Amino acid sequence: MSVLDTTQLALTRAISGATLRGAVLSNNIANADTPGFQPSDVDFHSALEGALGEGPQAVEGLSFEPEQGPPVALRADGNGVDAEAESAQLAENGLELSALVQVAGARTQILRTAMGVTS
Amino acid sequence: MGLFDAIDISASGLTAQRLRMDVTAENLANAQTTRTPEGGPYRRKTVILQQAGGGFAGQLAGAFGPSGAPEGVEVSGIVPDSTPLRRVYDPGHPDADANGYVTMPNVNPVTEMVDLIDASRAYQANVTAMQTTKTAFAKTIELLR
Repeated sequence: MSVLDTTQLALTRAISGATLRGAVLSNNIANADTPGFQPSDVDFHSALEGALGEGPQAVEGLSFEPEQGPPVALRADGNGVDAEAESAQLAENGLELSALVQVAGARTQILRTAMGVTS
Repeated sequence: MGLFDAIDISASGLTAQRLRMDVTAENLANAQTTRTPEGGPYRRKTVILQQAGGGFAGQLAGAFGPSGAPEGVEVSGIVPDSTPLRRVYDPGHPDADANGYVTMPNVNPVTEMVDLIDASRAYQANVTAMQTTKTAFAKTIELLR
């Protein structure tokens, strides 16, 4: 039995998912001029939702993989990056990561208080 | 997968786009250059970009497990543009041939300006991505306090 409950585990996994997603979206933006490049994304929401349905063990062992969507060619060189859409998703993901971190921090604080840690 | 991967990826984008701007500036500066160390007029140069991680290290990592960790962008090479050089009638030019024609570089200033704007916009997109990542990570680090 871990000291962390399922919600805290889920928050931790969500933070790592959002971090990976940030890297993948940044990679899409960095490759906006690479011929033939197809953007990837990390759907950590669905993966987390599925794992939460299965129980704490599934949540704890959850890992995320970037996935490529169906191929799209927005330009003649076969590149499929929509820089504006990627930037918007990255901004969204950044806010989500900040929110997750804040919630996880607040919950950790409660745990510290319960343990009698001062400061 | 480290905490600062996303920042490194955006940095690779910045490096690549800056090189594109440098090469475009060189093309513009040499738009009228008829003499080069290799002989003949200047030829326009283009930057070829490729996804990073396609090299030996990337292939090796891919062979051992699911590859998918993004590594950013890298410059594959700077190659000369093979489009025909311009011929301009200017009999007074020291490099004119017997018929009075001078072979000029295949640089079109309009194309270069468009490339420059494209590279500069892409650079800004990478800066914004880096700022977004930095803000989110700063929040994460606050967890330690």
